[in-house]
Amino acid sequence: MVANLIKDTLRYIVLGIFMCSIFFANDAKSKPIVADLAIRSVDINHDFNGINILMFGARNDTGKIVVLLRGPDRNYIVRKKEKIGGLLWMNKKSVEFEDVSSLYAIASTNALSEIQNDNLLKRLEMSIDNIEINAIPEHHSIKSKKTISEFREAFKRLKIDSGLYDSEIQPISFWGETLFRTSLKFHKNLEDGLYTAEVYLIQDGVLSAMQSTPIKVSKIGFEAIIFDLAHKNSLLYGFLCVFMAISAGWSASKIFGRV
Amino acid sequence: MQIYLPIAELPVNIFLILGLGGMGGILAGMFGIGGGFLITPLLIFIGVPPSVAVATSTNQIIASSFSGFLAHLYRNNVDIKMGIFLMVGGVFGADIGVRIFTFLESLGQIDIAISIIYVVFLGFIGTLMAVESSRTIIKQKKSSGKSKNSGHTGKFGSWIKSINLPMKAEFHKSELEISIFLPIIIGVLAGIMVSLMGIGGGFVMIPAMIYVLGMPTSVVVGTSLFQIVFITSIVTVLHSVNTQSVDIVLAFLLIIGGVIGAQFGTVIGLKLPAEKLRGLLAIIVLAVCIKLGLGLFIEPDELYTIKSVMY
Repeated sequence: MVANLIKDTLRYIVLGIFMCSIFFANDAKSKPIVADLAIRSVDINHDFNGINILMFGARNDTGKIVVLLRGPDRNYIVRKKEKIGGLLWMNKKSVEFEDVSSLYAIASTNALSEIQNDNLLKRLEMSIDNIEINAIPEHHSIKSKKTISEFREAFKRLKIDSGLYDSEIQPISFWGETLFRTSLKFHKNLEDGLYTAEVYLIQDGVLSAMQSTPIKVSKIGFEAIIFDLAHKNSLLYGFLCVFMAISAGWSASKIFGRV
Repeated sequence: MQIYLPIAELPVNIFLILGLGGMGGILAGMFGIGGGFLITPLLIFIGVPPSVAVATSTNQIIASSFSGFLAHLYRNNVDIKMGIFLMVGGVFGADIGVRIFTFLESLGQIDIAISIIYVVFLGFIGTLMAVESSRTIIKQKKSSGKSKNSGHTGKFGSWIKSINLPMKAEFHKSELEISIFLPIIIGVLAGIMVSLMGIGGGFVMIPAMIYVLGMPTSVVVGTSLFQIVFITSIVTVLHSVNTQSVDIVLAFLLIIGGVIGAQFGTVIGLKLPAEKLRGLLAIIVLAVCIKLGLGLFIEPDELYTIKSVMY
């Protein structure tokens, strides 16, 4: 508790200093929008329970602010179970989607409809509905557009259910006219990799400035080492598993005589 | 006390896993079987992905088979030559099995395939044991129990022997002269079972060695353990390389539980009458079979699944 309190206090002091530096620095004044994060790297172990990272910045021009948090792109296979032969439930159709953000969150000063430029919203993937989710075309099976959009909707729903896509637009709060802050939600189920926090300034439906900040998420601890070894050096890992079992079996026969 | 399984990607209670391993160990001690065929479905019930359950169970079996093998080796109960031919077959079987496993996984069908194989297999074994043990119990009640089962090498065995397979070899330890293809074929079948089901395959191999090959019972168990140690080791490495589904932390906990459980199992096994034990095991096997089977027929709450693919 006390440790957390000190940590929070320290964070706000640092933040305060940073705010002042933005406010008084000439450089900052010349840019329409600047922002930074309280921390830029996240270490996750199995106890990791999600984290909110504070983003703060200054707006030196008029306009609406939208912040996007996006995670490493991945390919995903979505499978659907169907009743086979009238009794058995098994995976039947599948669609593979290419280069889709594994995490998505959005914050905005205004409702997105107030931006009044649907093309821009679509191009910048603002709101979950605008995220580009493209199916990989397959040679062996041609799927109808209807099937693909059905699977796309299921994908988004599962992402929202798992907490990795935040369907709510988070608020951005202001201190005075210039300084703003918001909180970026990193859900506990996130993958390791490189994330970006992008700040957009939009004036009358036109993008006037943007800035992107990377956030590194890495897995740490014993579990991460095992996982890495199993995936990156799987032959060695396999031998290690066998060695572990053989020595356990040998020790057991030494200790108990027989098993 | 919670622990995180790095490959199953699941937090579990340590004592639950130790208990599961212990149950397997008790069964092993009581009946002299590996218990892999119950551990795999029980792992699936607690939420471990079926592919991880199978691969990890294979890893776990190495330990118990190795200590069992050592015990038989000290008593000079292992036909190494026969074991090597079984092993050669086992390597082919393991490779075939892991290929099937990897293929099914790429289709997204491995989970259901494992469930179906287990339902069929447990249903068959469970029914067989239930019938057998109830028959024995009834017989014992009717008359003073007269022992049945005299000569081995049944009709099937002598039929096999009548087929003249080439490349006969002499197996001194088993006092046999048979074609090397017989143990190789048995090894292939056992190897496939090891890689698809995560079991040692002893209770398929042992009857085959007695009734088909006509090996003396004294060397059968030691020889099959010898083969199982090698095949489960190979399959563990193959699964690690092909599907990355061996969870070393889970395997370790199961082994610890198994070692302790086996000590109790031996004591219990000596105290309870054999038919009642078998009847009990039959009930457990059928219950697991039904629970696993229901999962196949009941409509799941969520029809869609997503999986991120790594290239």
